[in-house]
Amino acid sequence: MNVDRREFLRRAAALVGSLALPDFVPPPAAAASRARVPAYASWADVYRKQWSWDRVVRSTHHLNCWFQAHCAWDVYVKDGLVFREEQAGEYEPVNAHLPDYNPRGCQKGGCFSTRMYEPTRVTHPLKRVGPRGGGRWERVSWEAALDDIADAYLDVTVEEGTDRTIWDLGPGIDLGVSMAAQGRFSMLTQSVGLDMDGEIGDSRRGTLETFGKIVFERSADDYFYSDLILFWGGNPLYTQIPQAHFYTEARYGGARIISITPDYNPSAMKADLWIPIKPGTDAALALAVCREIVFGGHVDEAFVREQTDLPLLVRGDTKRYLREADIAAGGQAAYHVLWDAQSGALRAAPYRSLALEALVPELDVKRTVRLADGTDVEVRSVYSLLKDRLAEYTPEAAGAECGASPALVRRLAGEIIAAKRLANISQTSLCKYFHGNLAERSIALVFALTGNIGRRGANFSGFPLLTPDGGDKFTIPPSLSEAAATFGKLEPLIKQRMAAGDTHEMIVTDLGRLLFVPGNPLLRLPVWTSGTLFWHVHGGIGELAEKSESWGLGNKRPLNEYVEESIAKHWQPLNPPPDRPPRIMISLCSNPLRRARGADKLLEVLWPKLKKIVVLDWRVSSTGRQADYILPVAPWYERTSLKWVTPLSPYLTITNAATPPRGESKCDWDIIVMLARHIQARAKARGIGSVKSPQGLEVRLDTLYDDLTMQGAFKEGDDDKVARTLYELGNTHKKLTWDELKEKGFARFENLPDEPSSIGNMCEIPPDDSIVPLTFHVRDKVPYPTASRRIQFYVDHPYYEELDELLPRYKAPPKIGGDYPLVMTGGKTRWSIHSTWRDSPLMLKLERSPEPYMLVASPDAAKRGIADGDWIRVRNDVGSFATIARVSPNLRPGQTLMYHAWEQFQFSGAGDMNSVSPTPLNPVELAGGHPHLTAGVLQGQNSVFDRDTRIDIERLRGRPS
Amino acid sequence: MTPGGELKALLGSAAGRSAVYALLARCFRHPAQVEQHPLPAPAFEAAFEPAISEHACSLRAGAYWAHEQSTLFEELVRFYEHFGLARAEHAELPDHLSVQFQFMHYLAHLEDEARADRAAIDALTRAQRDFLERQLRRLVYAVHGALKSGDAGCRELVALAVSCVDAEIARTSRAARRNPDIPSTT
Repeated sequence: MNVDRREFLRRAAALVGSLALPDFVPPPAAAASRARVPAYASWADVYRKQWSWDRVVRSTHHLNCWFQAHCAWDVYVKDGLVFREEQAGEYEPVNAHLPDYNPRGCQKGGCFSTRMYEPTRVTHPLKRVGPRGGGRWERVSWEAALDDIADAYLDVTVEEGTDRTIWDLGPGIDLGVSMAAQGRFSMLTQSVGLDMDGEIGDSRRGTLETFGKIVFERSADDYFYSDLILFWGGNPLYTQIPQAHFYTEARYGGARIISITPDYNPSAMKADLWIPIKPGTDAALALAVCREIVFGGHVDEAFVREQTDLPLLVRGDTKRYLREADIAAGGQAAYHVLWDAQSGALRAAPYRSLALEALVPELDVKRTVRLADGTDVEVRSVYSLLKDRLAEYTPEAAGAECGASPALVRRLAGEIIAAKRLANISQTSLCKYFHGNLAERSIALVFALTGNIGRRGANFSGFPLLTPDGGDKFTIPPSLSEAAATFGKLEPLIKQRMAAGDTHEMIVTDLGRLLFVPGNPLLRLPVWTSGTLFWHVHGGIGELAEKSESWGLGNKRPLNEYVEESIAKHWQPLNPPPDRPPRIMISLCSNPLRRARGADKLLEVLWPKLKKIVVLDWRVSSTGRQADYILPVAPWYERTSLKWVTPLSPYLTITNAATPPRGESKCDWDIIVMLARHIQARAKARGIGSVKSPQGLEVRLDTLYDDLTMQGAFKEGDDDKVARTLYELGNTHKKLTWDELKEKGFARFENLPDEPSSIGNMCEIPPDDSIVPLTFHVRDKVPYPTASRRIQFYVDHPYYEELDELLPRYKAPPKIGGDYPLVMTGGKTRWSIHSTWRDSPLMLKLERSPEPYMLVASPDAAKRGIADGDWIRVRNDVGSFATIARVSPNLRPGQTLMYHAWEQFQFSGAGDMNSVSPTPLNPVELAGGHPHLTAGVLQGQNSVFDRDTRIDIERLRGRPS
Repeated sequence: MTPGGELKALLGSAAGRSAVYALLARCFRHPAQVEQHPLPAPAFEAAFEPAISEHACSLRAGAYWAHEQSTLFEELVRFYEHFGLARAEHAELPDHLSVQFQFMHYLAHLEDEARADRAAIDALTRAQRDFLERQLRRLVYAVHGALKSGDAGCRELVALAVSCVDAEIARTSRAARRNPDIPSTT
């Protein structure tokens, strides 16, 4: 019918006398109509009855808050709807001395009940109509969508290979129920998941280089034991809302706070001392502090001798560590060598333990030794080499580089030297600088030289992560009953390595590394690969670095030579390899077109290669807008799962399905299982049985659903059952049953998770005190998972030698994007977690302007005739975009700042904030073939660098079209 | 009789009003949920589904509500519950235009059934006026103002909704003036 009035009236007349209430449950029809009409005098009458809730459910938001994850909330439900949420303030005190965790939650979590019901939420499967990105969609049924995707998957898998299907795993992955489905799918099909840790700029490369791992962090209450806290590479009062109180409360214990940052940011404002430095010059400052420590005679020699590589000897001829095999026939190649002052002789450094026993390693060694083949070589200790390096970092020289006065450098050094318990808060800011690895190594050196590692209140800040450890037991075996036999195959290997002196941590970490080497005959695993390298090679982002030789990166060869060498030598994982373009991409908890620096290239280079792009989400993100399908995911109040947290707040916090999913939404588990069902059905219908992976593993397509669900044991709708199973398979929580946990919503970790992404914490999780990471190394003398088995400051890899990074040093920030006068820095926004709330009307009300803006330092704005609120164009050699200028007195001249996560579609005109960030790879991150630089779960891969981006800005006459 | 006159005539009885509201409720549901929907799904989605089209206007009051969503939901649910309506399991959200028209359809249906009961009719008239004034009018005008679609059917549908609501507000206001027992909504 047409909507003309006459037709409307005709149809209305036909409805006279009928009653149709599809959205309501009416009172019983038998009741007299009079009885159904209650008294009603005015609207106030509807408010007379006391309001009541149908139930209150404990739940949370499993997104990537990372440092502040997660918070338990009371979710108030009525009529199958979430009306509101409230912080659950029931965290028990850890002990009488420490501040407790109550309450936890921020304004984003506090408005999720509004966010989840916004009109833009996707509640039905959507299929693209017209060209990609055309903005036209249609609702389709699940059956139609999944059949189409399944057929595309089968076409690609049969014709081109199992590794052509890519799982774009975003920072929101839970390592819980969602990843149980994805992990089993990947394990069975050998499809490839992208490890996003480096790709989102969280690589913590310098931490890996120094400690052999990135994951270790204290509980936030441990700062209460500190007497000096350095905000160095973080803005925690702005970005860690539920935790910020711990840092300021530490002052009740007498702690002082020093903030080291270019801008006078919210955390700097609350500090006792602010040390303003130029962006990207942290290494110069840190090394000047180290110089003051070393040359002032303030080194904690006992700590350094035992825990670090500083006493180990390095050959002058090869610049490699001296090994026992070099000096003695039959000596061990794995054993490092030191000079023992007690015996006055070369000795193998302790291998199975850090304990020195009777050894007294000499720190400052420079001597000639005779090798086993009779030749004499000069050897020097790392400490001796380091002293030479540090000599050039006088406060004056370093101050000239970093912008702090020599007096301020000396004051910082003095405060650090005087501190008995030094702590820092370094988030993932420094590693977004091209030479951030050197800054992290230099800051770690400050902590090592002063012995402020692995003690209560005294620790270097690594990358925080704490994951329940039941996931692998669910994901990897064919069925739960076969778990013991599956993992039992590893026992001989584990025993062999333990007997050879390897630690449990080393072995667990290496098991994680197996994910990056598909086709392992011993244990069939999901396949992971480096997200950054994938975007660089397959996504075309590498093309943006074609001009990089003029950016002052300091490379000795063209960047592509390093990339090609690394891939050819399998130093870095890239699946599929360069000659096998990807064909299907499924985005899970991800939004790469918003996130990836230089994302325009993905549309230009990657998108045409992809035959099917499927986004699982509850809103239409930047990536969703360019997809072929958007499959509606139930947000967190509509599904049950568990997820990683961090030691900073060591409470497993679950989502609990408070209401059924809206519309036709489904949880990730259901969607992936349903996809497997459709693939199996279509494979059978098309007579497809199995195919081989490139490495020769058989991939059964006609039994995929049966295999993924363990022959129907875990089917669609079983997300709660899967969560319960994951919880019960784990060893991290034994005090509460799953049902009790669902009631309470959170539970403190009881044990260190026995899995690759968390084992690095290497400490107990005491029920009644703070968490002190690295305890097992410092207290129990368990070796570190580095090549030298110690905290390692000398990295003897060819790339490090070629690029003069064998030891920590300072390198001036490059001019990424071209020789322009301003630096574009960034940071986490306060009003969103990544892009999840970025276009939330409610959160945008709290911004100064509800669209992208750039903070510009007052002198820079004045020089260009730019006033607050003006439209500006930001440009460099690789791109441009328009935004609003916010003139700020808080920024250092020369610095601009763009808080992150604006969606592409929030920008006016062409380009977005990523259009000017070419993020060239750093060759040292392409290193491999090395004991602790080998890629592993969330570490040892390439990262992205947007903090050194050089730009200029100019005033526009108005909003660009 | 002109369509305008016919509409007026149909709105002249409670049964007719109930039928008009019922049809409006149907028309503002997604075409996939309704047999013989007057609009093709693509046109409806382009006009009224912000998740599908960035140019679409929302049919949800929450999209135009400047205050906390829970306060909006609460008042709507209180109205519905006061008259004995519970939310169905897979229902649209309570602030959806279709749901609000269903509620008016129900009140008019009750009014038709209670035609001999003056007190019930007064109560229902007050409730209809209040709901129109406090909720429905705001929403249909917001939709009317936000509508960007050039689809003639969509525009006519919204115009019809505005006409009906205007007529109903006029009718219930007149009833209030005739009957001093019906207090003001403010």
